Amino acid sequence: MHVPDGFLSLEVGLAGQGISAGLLAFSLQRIRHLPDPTVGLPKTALMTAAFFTVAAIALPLPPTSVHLTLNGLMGLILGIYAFPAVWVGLLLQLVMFQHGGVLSLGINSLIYGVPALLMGLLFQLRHRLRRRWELLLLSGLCGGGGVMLSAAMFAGFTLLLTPDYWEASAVRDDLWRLVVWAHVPVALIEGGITGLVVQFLQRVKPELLAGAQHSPYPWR
Amino acid sequence: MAVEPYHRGTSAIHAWHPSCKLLGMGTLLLVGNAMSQWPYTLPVLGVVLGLVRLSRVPCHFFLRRSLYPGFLILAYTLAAPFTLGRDTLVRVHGLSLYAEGVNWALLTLGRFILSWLSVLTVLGTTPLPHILAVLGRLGLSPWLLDAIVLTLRYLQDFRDGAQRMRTAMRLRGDRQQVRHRIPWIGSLLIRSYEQAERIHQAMRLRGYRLGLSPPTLPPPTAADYWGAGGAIALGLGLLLTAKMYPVLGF
Repeated sequence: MHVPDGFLSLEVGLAGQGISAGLLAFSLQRIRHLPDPTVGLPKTALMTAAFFTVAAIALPLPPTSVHLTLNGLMGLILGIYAFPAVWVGLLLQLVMFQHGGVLSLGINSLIYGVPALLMGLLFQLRHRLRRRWELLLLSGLCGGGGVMLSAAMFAGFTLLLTPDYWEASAVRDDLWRLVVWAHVPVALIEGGITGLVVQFLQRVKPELLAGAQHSPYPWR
Repeated sequence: MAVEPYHRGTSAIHAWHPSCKLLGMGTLLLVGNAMSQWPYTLPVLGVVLGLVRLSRVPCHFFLRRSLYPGFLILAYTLAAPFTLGRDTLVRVHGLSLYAEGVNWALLTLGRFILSWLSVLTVLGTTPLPHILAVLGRLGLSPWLLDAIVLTLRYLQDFRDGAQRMRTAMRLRGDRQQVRHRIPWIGSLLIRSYEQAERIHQAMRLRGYRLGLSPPTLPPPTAADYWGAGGAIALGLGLLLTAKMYPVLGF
């Protein structure tokens, strides 16, 4: 789901960079207001590396295999650090594997980062939940919701904003639906994995989700 | 894993100061992406190809890195001529080739090749720490720069750790099933969290403040500025010509 360079017009690419820079500035400003702004830095770097590694592992989905994006889980664990972490991860993917592009880095950051932030925010509802299955359901919803939001944003940017002469045709609408629906199995897998990983972390290391001393959600 | 896809060399592009190189190549990339018709991308592509030739970076460096993005773009550009547009050029066995689709496919392909060559030329002739140093001088947050450096540092550790855990799982007889992967992913995250805590404590004890020291670059020479100025002037000239051409109707 990486938009390559050349695909988007310059205006869309620059607008994406602008919005992405705004979100980065917002996140970094929030981080600066923490008692120690450096406290989350090694955690963010290590988690980015961990997600980078996990996302490279293919899961068997006969007759093919899928790669996890895990941006929902990233939002649940990193909170306000999620957007900078996504940006850093995408920049390194561009440098190391040429996934994405320089001009489309902003759009790609929005595609992965905004769902991560939103799912992190949604996950705050867990404080109101009492039963284990409710937490499983919420975390699964956040994991799957991250993928579906990313797919919808990817389809929106690539199909709705790209060719200006491509009027509201049946082909475009069909393709839009196809891209979104094709991600439903991936969202289900990722939702299941996120739910189970959150259960595992809740049992073994709950402070990883809660954020220990410094809350990863300073807006709360 | 190619953390630093950098080729040592003595070419003029290698010697070009990183800040001027980013400015010059960045302008050409932006100009190429500003073109709205595919024939206008060709002169910019010609200039970039000239710079690639001047850099003497081997072809396999570019080819090896074209597989993933090239496949994606190829799929889009093969599908577009048959699905986009209204003006039919040819119709064979119920399959229509549209003029708008062909134009869009060629434009996308031209802009992609141009951007891809520009990015790889910079990456292929400049060490990553130098690029990060320039980005820092251009105003990128020290927090983000440190996050990039630390992520690069831990990436290799993670690959090794993940490989060790996978080998241990296989030796224990665990199968490569999803239910076995969940504790594996969870353990990997917990290990990374604990390692992060230890590293942060160690960094604080050593008096860490934001801003890991980037390499100090020498100031650009007059030749570096001339190179950047030339690339910018050429790019803007080509852009102006492309915008004026339909108006003046040469």
